[in-house]
Amino acid sequence: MCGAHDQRGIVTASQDAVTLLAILLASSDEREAFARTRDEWISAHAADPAAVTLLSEIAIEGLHQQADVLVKKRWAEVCDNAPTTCQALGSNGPALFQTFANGYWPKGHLRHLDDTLAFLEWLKGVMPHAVGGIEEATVRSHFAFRQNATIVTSSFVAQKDIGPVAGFVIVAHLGANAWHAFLPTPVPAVVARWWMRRKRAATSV
Amino acid sequence: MGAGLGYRGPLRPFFEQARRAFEERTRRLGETPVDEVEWAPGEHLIRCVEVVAEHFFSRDPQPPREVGSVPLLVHCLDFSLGTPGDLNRPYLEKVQEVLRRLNGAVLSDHLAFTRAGEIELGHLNPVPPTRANVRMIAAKIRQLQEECGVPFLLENITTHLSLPGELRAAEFYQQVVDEADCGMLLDVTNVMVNCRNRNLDPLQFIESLDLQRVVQLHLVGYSEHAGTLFDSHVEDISEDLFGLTRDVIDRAPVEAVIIERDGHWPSADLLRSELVRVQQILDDKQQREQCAAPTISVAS
Repeated sequence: MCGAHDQRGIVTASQDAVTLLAILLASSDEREAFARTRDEWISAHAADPAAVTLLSEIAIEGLHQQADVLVKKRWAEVCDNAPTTCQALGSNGPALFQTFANGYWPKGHLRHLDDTLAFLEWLKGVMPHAVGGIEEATVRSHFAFRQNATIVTSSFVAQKDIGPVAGFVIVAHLGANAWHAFLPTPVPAVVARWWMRRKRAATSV
Repeated sequence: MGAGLGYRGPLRPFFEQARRAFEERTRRLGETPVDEVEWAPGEHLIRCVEVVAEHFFSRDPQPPREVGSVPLLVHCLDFSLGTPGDLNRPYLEKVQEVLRRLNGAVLSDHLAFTRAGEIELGHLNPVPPTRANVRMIAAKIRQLQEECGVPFLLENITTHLSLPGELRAAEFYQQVVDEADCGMLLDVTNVMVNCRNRNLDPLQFIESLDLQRVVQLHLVGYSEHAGTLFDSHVEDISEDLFGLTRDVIDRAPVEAVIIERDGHWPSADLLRSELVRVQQILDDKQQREQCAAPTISVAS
């Protein structure tokens, strides 16, 4: 995953209007604090006059609604990537995801896969039996492949979306928790060959 | 161009089917006397295709084979033009590579921010409608047009958050586009969703824009929950949206209309009927313009 993105503690200094807006949209704790003591929150974090004006006039209901929509969009992406697990959660799914989503914001253009993996990881801590092993392995392999295997995909002329299959093979072969699972298979193979040659050279001398 | 479709993995068979049908027609056209054919040459169900640049970041960017040779429009989600500071350079370089390899005809992104500081929200959020932001975003768009070498189109977003500011939503959009000297990618569904959620008239919003800037449209059905509309991209296009699309096309020099479906994949028949209907709206306008064009009479 791209790293932990716990939003607590990110409001450390005076920031521009857009950054403060992003903080409010990302964290329900910050929104609650903003709603409770708006003036204090503004004077603590906004020095820029434009930010002060914006935050003084903003409607808290709109902030909540926009933040809800952001989380719902993420939930829809997670359901696309891990449909079996999400279906199994039934009507509890959105609420569970909401709890998780408040403390984690994925990064990068593969954020939908990052988000799904992080949620499955988190869910295993809350409801260990809710996560399908095969589904998790598939998402993990898809993510690993997409993150690291641009060179491998470039070499395929078929132009088919073989990412999930190839990634699954890599991860299944090397073990999901091995660090080298995140490298395309040729890399460990090349390293092994180099080591063998070196060993052979050493013994011949 | 004409009516087109957003390229998504699950729609590959549909693209393939449309391409094969087009190729078959073209082949038969060569063998058949022109007065016997029922179709016009170049009549492709999908006249242009919009690809999302990010979908090509993790692989070798190649034009999707099943699309054929129709123009490709490159759409971005994450330039985050509303974020203070410079353009995201690594992201720009990846987009440039996609544009070059796919030979993209235009580049587009949203009047929005998706990240700020250390936070990546990942989805589109409104930018405070201030004059300072007009200047900041317009400067970035000018830089994009210069560095990418293709026209840039700015898209309006859906938002559930009304931000106070010096300008109204339409003024803000218009001023950015004017100052950047770029085109508009008007998302008809987003206009409908925003206006209906705020009890405003969508047509009034549209008429408050300089429609000569509109080059491309986005269209997809909206969903409704507890009286609020959402741009979920998973619904069929409703009658009111077709009506609003016609209103825009009647008033603006629209070149392409993209149906951007992201889920609850419809049947091929339904998708085909939506494309045909959109193309019909574009053709109707073209016919009206041809009829209204002055004819030169030669006096004998």
